[in-house]
Amino acid sequence: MVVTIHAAVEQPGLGIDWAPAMDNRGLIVRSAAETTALPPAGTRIKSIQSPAGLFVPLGKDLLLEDPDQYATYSEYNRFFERQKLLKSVYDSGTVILSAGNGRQWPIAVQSGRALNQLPFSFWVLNLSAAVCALIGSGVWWYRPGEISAKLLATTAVCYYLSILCLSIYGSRELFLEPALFLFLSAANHLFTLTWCYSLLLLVVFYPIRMGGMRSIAAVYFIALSVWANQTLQVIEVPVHAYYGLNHIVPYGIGIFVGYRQWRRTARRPVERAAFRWFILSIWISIGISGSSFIVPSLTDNSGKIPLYVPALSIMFMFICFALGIFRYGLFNLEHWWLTGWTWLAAGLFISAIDILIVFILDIRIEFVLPYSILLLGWIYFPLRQWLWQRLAKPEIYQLEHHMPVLIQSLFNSRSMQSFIDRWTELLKEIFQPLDIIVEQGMNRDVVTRQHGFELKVPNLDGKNVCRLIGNRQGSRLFGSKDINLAKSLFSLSQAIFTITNHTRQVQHEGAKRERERIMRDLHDDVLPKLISIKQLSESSAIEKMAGAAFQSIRDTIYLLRYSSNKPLEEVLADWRAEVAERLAAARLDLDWRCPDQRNRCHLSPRQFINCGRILREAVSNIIKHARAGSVHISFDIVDHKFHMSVSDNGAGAGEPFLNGMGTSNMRLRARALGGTITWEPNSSSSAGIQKGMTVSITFPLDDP
Amino acid sequence: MKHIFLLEDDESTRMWFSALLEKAYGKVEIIPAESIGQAEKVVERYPFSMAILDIYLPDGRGIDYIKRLKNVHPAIFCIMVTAFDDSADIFAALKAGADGYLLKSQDKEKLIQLLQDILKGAPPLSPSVARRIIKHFNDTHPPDTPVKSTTLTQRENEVLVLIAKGMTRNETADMLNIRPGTVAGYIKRIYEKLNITSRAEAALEARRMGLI
Repeated sequence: MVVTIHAAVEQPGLGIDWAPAMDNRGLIVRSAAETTALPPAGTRIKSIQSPAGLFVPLGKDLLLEDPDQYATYSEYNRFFERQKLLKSVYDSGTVILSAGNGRQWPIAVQSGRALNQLPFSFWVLNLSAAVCALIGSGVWWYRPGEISAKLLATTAVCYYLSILCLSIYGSRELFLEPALFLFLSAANHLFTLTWCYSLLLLVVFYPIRMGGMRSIAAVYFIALSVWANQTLQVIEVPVHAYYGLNHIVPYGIGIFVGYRQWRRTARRPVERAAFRWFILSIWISIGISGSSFIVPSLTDNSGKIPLYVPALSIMFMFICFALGIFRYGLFNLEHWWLTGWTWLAAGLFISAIDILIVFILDIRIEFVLPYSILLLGWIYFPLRQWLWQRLAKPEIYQLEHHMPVLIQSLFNSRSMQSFIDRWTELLKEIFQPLDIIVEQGMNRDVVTRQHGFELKVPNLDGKNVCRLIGNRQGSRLFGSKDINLAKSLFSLSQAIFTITNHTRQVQHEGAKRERERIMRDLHDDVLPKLISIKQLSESSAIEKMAGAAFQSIRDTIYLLRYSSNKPLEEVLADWRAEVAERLAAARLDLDWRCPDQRNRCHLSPRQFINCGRILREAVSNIIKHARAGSVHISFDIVDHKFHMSVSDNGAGAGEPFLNGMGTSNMRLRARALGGTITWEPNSSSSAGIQKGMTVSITFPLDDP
Repeated sequence: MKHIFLLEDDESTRMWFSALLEKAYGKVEIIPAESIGQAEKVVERYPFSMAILDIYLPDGRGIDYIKRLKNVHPAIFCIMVTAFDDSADIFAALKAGADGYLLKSQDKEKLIQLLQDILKGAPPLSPSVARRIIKHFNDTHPPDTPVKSTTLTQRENEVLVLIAKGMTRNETADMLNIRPGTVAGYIKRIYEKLNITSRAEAALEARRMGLI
């Protein structure tokens, strides 16, 4: 940079700051040192001439920052002819400025100028370009192996070099040594081509590598040949000799490549996010810079916008790159993406309309603006709205849609487990992740992981977290909107969960306390008294009645005290012990058959108490009435139904027995179990037992 | 003259149980107590050979009093009685050293027979208690105590398993080809081992807690 400063400073000048004249006749002195030797500010100087009489009219083309803005070779060459003329004038050491109205000022040519005379644009250009170079090389230094970093560094450094050249001749007063000027211009072209095409290559290689070393070589070869063509002026490119191939073409190709990259990242949200940021920064800044100097030059409005404007927007691009490469998740991409696009599109649309109208309708640029605005208002905005509705998938992220469903299902949950399941289902419905994994974790915060690829949401049971992977089937990342949504859903669900849990618990506790109280009363007061009645009474009828009453109370206490199921094996063992004891005392043989599978089934307290009572009654009946010799009891589980049959080979029973008290009790119990009970006399065909009765009970088992 | 200690707080129960004891054992001296507090006043005064303890007493559990009784009268027979056949309570009583248990609700004749059986060394065992005992011996392996006296022999295990399935004592004897009396002996041994292991556990636990 020191070199450029030196080069810029060492140019001969007059110490005058020039401004273009509106009607392009001469130049106006914007400011000059307050001496009588120099024309005062505001003076229109029509020409500059040497004492020898060499006459050069002044025009605004002399103030053109960059001769690249000429669209044809002939204009470019003409510019340099005039520079050569000026050189002859300056070489004489003194120049004469004439205002056309006869006034003249002879001025000695200064061989250099002070630092503070360098225009503002010089510093802006150099500094912004330096920033870019720093960023580019910084990124490359941080990630030296990556091809994209290398291309970025190349872009940055070449851009810097091109700007350096530009700044030297762009900051000239009127005139720069033509040989140097030409050299710098050519160098500027070279570097410009290099950086534009390097940027194009960057789009080819990032985020998904779409080319190889051969494409790099090919592109650079093309760039070099374009440069050779430009410098040697072999073939003239239509539209614009310099900007056409330097900027417009690579930009156009870049758009196409960008589209390809977009397609490639369809199912890779991480790459897609990187790409969005990346392309956004490029297109916005190139769009701004392009609009600001390409479009005016196409419509012959050259020089209106100083070149440091595009330079600053390029610097903006590099800054975006830098930030993005390290952490593109920094920007809320989803939101800015759309916003940036629409904003850029609006601006470009105006420029495009301008160009269109100027070229097609051939109206002067000053009159075009109102039409542009009208068209923008009437056509563009409605068009955009319509396209927006059609293309952007409406985001059903609204809570209003989900809330009623959520609340209802949460309140309807039968158990804590179904509540928790409903929560994960809800997450699935709303976010449609590629996958959802429930794993251990204590974090109660909603966070994203892996740059937004994963969302971690705590589970309602307080011990686990749900990991949602891949938002919307992997087509987007989890952003701050999703985090907020998940947070609100979670706090709401938690609240509902706590409330319903609490209510359930309170109910449970209350019921439990009541049960315990009743049970204690029964156990402490009623039971002992019943037992005493039974043991003290002389009458066997009272003894039996008290015994039966005791059984009922005992079963009730059991139901109150124990609410858990018992495995079938245990129930059958308990029954067997009791029945075997009684039958042994009554001198009856016992044949006891258990179900083979013993499939892990359980009986609820209600089931084993009621069925046990039926069994007890049946056995009592046999002992009392049947005058049998043996008893056959079997159990079976078929189709989730429990079967029990009690057979004896006694005398059988008649009508009175079947309608008596004992049997109607058993019928009641069977009905309480949701099952059926039948009595059938044994015939010779049933189970090998010749006579007597069989009582069969069937009731359904609950699903486990 | 047999001295029997009857620790039961319900008066009517005491009444019929005393009648039962006389029917079972003939002439006996029954010393009643309504609570542990009352029991303490009389426990050392008589040469008790048997104690009938209710599990739920107003000022404590009968189960916890077994140890005290056995300290004062080492040869005493402790029989727990309970109205509600909660096998957990019974199991706890056996672990504490009870020599047998009775359900108050059983028929009088059955109770008398059981009382005599217990004295003869043939204590009762129901399937649910048998299941608990099996589980207990499967779960506990106290390392510090000598192996022999705290694990069950194979025969004892077989007896337990059959009883847990619901077989009567006679059926068990038939299936194992031994006499019912032998089965009874096994049951008695099992109870003793249960007591030993639970005492051993308690000692281990106490040592671990630094109490002894």
